Amino acid sequence: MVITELYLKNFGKFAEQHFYLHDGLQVISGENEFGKSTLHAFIRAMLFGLERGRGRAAAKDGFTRYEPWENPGYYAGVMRFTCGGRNFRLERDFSRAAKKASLVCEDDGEELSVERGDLNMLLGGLTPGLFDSTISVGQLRAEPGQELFDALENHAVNYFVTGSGEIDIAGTFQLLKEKRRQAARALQEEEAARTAEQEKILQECRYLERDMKALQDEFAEKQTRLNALENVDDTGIKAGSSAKNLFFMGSAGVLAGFAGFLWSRFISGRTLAASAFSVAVIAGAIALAGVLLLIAGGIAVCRAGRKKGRPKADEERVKQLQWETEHIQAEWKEKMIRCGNLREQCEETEVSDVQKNLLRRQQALEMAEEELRKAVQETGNQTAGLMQEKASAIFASVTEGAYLKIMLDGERHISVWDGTRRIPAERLSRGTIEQIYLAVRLAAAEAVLEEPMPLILDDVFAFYDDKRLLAALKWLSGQGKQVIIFTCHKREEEIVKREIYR
Amino acid sequence: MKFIHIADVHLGAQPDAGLLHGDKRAQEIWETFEQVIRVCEEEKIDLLLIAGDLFHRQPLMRELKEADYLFSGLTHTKVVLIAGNHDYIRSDSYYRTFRWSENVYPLFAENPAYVDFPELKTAVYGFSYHSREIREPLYDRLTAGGVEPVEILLAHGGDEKHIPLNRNALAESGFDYVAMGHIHKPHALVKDRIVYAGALEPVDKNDIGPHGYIRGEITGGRVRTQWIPCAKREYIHLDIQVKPDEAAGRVRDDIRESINEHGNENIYKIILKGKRDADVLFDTKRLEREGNIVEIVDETMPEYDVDRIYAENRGNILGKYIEHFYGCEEGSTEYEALCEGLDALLAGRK
Repeated sequence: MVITELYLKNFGKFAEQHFYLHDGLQVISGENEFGKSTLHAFIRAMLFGLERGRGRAAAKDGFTRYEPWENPGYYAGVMRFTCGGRNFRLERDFSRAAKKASLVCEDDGEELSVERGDLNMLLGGLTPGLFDSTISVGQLRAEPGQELFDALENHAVNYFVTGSGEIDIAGTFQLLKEKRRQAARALQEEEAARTAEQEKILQECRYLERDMKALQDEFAEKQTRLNALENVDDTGIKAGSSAKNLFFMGSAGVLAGFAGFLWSRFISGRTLAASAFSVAVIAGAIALAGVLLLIAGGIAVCRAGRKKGRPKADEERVKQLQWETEHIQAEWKEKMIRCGNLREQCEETEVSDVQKNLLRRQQALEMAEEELRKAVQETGNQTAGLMQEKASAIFASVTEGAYLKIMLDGERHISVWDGTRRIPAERLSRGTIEQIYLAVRLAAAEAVLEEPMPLILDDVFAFYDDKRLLAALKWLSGQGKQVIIFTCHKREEEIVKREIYR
Repeated sequence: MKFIHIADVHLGAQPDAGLLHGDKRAQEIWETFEQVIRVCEEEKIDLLLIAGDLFHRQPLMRELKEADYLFSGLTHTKVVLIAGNHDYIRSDSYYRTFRWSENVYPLFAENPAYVDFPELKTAVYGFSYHSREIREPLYDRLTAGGVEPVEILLAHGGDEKHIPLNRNALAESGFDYVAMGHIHKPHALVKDRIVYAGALEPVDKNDIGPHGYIRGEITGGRVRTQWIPCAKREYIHLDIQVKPDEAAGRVRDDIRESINEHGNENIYKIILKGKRDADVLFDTKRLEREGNIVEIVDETMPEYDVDRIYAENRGNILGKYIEHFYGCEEGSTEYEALCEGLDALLAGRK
């Protein structure tokens, strides 16, 4: 594919501007702010359209970035290109309201359909991701130093391992891990919520148990009071019975005394007064004893009676206490059963569907990681060798044989070989690192793309010395492909004029 | 002879405690129970059969008094009940000592017994759970005693841990009607003969569908039953199909609309299905706060045209990764793993 014309009808800062391109190597140079990145973005937008991002991403997406400065409702462009010996005209309208694309073959006027994939056919499987990772080359975006080296290594590994460099393997693993952490956190939160719920129930249990303890104490206290009252009652009954005994004996004594007195009167009429007198004395004594006993009994009965007067009040208190203790017992049992029920409820809480779902997600994420690791290994084995060979060849040309090979060891560290020594990439200069990076990307483009596609190099030579720049441009011009170089330096143009198109 | 058969009333249960509608549920279970008692009185039902789990757990004294008070108001109906696995007769259960009203006949013994109602020419058999589980198939050996022309069995159980049942044995046991409890979904093992009344009110989010009681009539040895819905609410599992271009707000509206359609009094478990946009994630917690929702389960899968991605990436890591999941079923854990992996791989695409 060769791009022949870029016609920016209204795109970014450009309006009604034509850029004509030809096959082979060419340099588009301009000062800063000339619009090189806009042109670069225009090519991408023409090939793949401009997708609007969603939400926050929208603020930074290409659509917003290149929305025309003037008259944003009119947002369109044309690209003409040749492919397979035929000429095509691709026209796109990017505006929000009238988004559309048309593709016409200029040789026979045939209308082709972008929606139905005719353009994709012409692009030979080039996707936006592949475009970004292969034929569209920028500078390695990193600060010099360790970070630069890390960026190179990460890139190179991705190219070697994935076969295209389109995918950031380390980033993918990191993302999967992050997702797994998130799932674990969500699961924890879910569990914490359930534990809190259980804790609430257990708290109620503890309150109940405290109440039960209080009831028990109250019960014990009431019980002792009840026992005490019941004992007092016993002595009262005993006192009563002894009084009755006294009373009984006293009555018997009085009766016996009376009988003796009568008998003394009876015998005094017949016999000696002396004997009658003695009988009367004895009877009198017995009667006296009886009277004394009677009095004692009377007092005892009185006392018992007085005591009995108090037990009347006591009995009610006993009844009251008995009722209270029963009530306490009932209340205690009610609480005990409620407490048991709550504990049962606590034990029954089961795994919720949300938890099950999260567990499954965790499992899926683990599985994804594992399978990805396997896939990486398989692809790596296939592509790494091929990629390494191609990249090494390009690197050797660009460095004019100063280095012969790019090597990737088992730990995925990059080093280069100059024919005698193996030099770890971190010891190389920024220029050389950029050259490895370019070599790897170009190797990937060659490996992945079925059709020869234009290479777009955006300010990649800034760190090259003149010698290596010449070598790189020579190599590029010998590839039989369209190469579009964007630069803000005059150097590339001069070299191309002087050395390539002599 | 007219009877009403209820089961699994679960008085004292508090379904969905902590949710918006949760406070009302415990009360509603009582209210529906009262409603059945009212029906018994109004329709001069002869027997109210309660096939276990009248209470959700060990009944409290005040709960028993409350239930008995309701029974005592029945001027015509006699009540027969057994204890199920939930309100099983524990050593300290109030069931052991409670004095019921005269028209209530508990069959609380561990061994089969019957109550004879000569005036109804009916005998009701049954026994109660004295432990939480009974794994022996006790009903298989039980046969009607032939005391009265009409013989009814109150039975509770039917799964592995709660008296496993042999339907044929039960069908040939000689009972005119077997009033079943334990399984909360109303259904008949043998039409008009062996019937699960189902829970009177649903007590768990998985008790989906309508709930109610069985109203039956036995005349001349012929039993006719009718299931009558009366529960105040239903649990409904709603599958909400998510389309790839839908935002979370749209899904929330869909849920609202669907709930309006199925009745606002009902309680929902929402299952999000279908394909969502790969970069949209639903905040189910926030959606749950809509009310009347017990749970939202997100089963959506990110929308990926796996075949297309594979076609474009044969030979590279993406293609290889997809090959690892070749033939896995949509909706399986493997498929979820595939989507998650693709999601991560494509997010990392530069």
